[in-house]
Amino acid sequence: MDAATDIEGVFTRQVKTVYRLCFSYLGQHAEAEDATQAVFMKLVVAPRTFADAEHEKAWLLRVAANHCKDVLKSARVKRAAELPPDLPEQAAPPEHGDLLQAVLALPDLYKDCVYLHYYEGYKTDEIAAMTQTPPSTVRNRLRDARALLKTALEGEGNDR
Amino acid sequence: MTANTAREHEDQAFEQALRGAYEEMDPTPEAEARMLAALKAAQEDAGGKQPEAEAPGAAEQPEAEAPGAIEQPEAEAPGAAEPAKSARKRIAPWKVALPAAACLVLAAIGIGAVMSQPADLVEPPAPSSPEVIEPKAGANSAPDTGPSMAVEELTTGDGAYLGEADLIDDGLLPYPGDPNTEEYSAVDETGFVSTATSPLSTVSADVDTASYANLRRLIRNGCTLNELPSGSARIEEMLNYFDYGYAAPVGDDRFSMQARVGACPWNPDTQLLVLGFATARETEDKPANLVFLIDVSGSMNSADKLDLLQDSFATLLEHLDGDDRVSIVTYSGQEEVVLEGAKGDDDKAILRAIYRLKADGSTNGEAGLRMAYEVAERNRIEGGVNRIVMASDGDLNVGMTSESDLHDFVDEKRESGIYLSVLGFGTGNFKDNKMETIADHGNGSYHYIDSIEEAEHVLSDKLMQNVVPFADDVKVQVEFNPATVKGYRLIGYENRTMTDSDFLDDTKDAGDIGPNAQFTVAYEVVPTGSAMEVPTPELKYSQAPAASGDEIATCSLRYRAFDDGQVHQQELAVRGDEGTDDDWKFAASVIELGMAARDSEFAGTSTGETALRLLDGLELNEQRQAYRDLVEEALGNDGEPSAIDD
Repeated sequence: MDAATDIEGVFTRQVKTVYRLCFSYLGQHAEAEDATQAVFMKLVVAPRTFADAEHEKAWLLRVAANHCKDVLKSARVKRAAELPPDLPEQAAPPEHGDLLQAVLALPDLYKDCVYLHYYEGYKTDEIAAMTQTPPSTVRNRLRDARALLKTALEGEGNDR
Repeated sequence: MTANTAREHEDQAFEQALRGAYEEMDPTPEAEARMLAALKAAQEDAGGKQPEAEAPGAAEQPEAEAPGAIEQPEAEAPGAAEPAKSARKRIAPWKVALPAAACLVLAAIGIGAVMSQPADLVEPPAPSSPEVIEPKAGANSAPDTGPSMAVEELTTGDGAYLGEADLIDDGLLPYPGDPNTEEYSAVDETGFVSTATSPLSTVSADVDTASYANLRRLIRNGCTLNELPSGSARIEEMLNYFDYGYAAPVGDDRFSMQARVGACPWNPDTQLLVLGFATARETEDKPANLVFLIDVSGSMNSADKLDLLQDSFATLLEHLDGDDRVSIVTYSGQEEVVLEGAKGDDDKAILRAIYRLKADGSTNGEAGLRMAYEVAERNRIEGGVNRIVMASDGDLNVGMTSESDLHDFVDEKRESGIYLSVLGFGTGNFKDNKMETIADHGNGSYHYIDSIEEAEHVLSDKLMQNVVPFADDVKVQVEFNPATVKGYRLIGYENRTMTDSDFLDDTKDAGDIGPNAQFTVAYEVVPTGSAMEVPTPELKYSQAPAASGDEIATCSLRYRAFDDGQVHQQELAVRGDEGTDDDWKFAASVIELGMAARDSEFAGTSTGETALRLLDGLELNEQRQAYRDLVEEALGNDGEPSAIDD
């Protein structure tokens, strides 16, 4: 790749991947858009070379996850101070499906593994390397997250 | 169909549904187009401004030298979304902002004016000099995005305009467009001194930890080691952030002292001496009269400031009981006593008062401090602990705003036996220099709080160590042996050094230490056999040093114990073959990181990578593992995030 990263190419290839991860963390389109743009902006400001599209994707996902966690870190503190403790967590807009709601309601800890595994198809070991988490922890998180998602769906009244 | 197959089907259906859910999250085509347009605009902009575009991966930043040309900021790219505004030349912004920041600080001190901008920032006129200097010299500042006026007139020396996006990218600008006017005091490193001419080195103890937490925040926001404002790395505070396995004192000693010596990892010609001091663990529980002085000025109106502060204080209350007194004084344009003399176990009243706080107005820290001292005086507990805990981003923009005025005031008040600790909060407008000054002069400790985890660490652990004083005026004096050591260099503690004769002068103020506290002092030592030259004038009348065994130094510790009010002194002879341990290696790593971060002239071979390598083979507890992760993150900010490297 040239000194100036082919930003359009990278963006076109990876925007959905990055955006979904950001949305799953942030739960709102405006915030997901800001975050996505901030992630790609890093490539504009400091161009870098990737070995291949997979490497590129992995890099972007990692940056996106870190960025969203930072955003949430301050946002959560703010929300905790603003809301009386017994109010429920802010729910996603009602037009989203139950499963989407359940994904958004997952603890942040699980969000990257769930997305990387179930959508992007990464294996446990790959996720472990990307998130610097022991493979056993990744497996446990996936199992817990899956249980949470299923419970959430059942709780919504889905009969099975 | 077996149950298993049925289950597989169910799983497949679930996973498919899950993928569908993720697809529901997709951006609209309009959103994609918006983002792409903004990115392309930013890239074009960057291309236009950066004809000498560097090869990818080349981390070298061009050193801008030529002063003079100030290019007028161009009109912003129309239509581009916020963050795309001006991704121009990537030069660590503070390299440019330094002289400007120096002007800003001076002007702020001089003017001390009140302004009521919406964000409530008071800033002096735009900088006049675009000259680029190295971070080492002069007043230091984090990237100063200031009010946008000031920033937009900053240029790099070669005329490239530094815009918001540079700062956003550097992670220092809470995205998008929040003003950043962080200030750090310059750090002038103590160089090597000759043992023949000055065998004594004297420092005041320090248990502050703010610098490490602040660095962590900067790194997490994307700073590389090269980009950290050099004044933000105070090595003694980095060292003292961590817990070491120092033994508890034995017998009548109130402190334990230990020394470890080994080959200096970054310099083949020297040795690294690490001195560790720890206080006794148990102390009697004295009632505390705590006055929380809380900054509620407009600049505190942020999730990582007042909100975090409010949540943090609940943690502290867990450690108070009915014998303690809690008062809350707030200050902004107006100072106010929100709560006075509440019992320490009346959590409800205290929390109600804390959560009712709203940030608004300018910051009259002086009036707030005066009132806090009055309240502390009214609620004084004789024989107990009387302390003000000030929480602020340090942006005292009304009244007494210069460091020297503040420290005179706090010095004067210290005589009354009321202590002062400082908690630093927030990003973007963080006045590190003022906060440290206040704490140092108030016999207090200074901590920086960047997250709820750090709040718990500081408020339940570090601050409580320091709420109850254990020993006052704690000084360390090391006498080096000219027979075995030809020179030495104190690492860190630059603003804690004392005149040698003050060591025995018990009227001289020095740091105070709480129970269950530790601190670490390190020296780089040049043995007599070393190839390294330490300039030493020919001394006509002094004797050649008599050999005295293997001792390289004697370390003396002097303090006034809080329990008996008496001055005590302890000594420890240090041999050259003390050896090293995990604590020594860990301290060496922290020092290397600190030197790399501040671009120290004594850094030798130190880099982030070598700091990391020093941790190899060490058993890392949670705290040290977090440090390791942070170093990796700092290195990852330089290029590839290490976590996904192949």
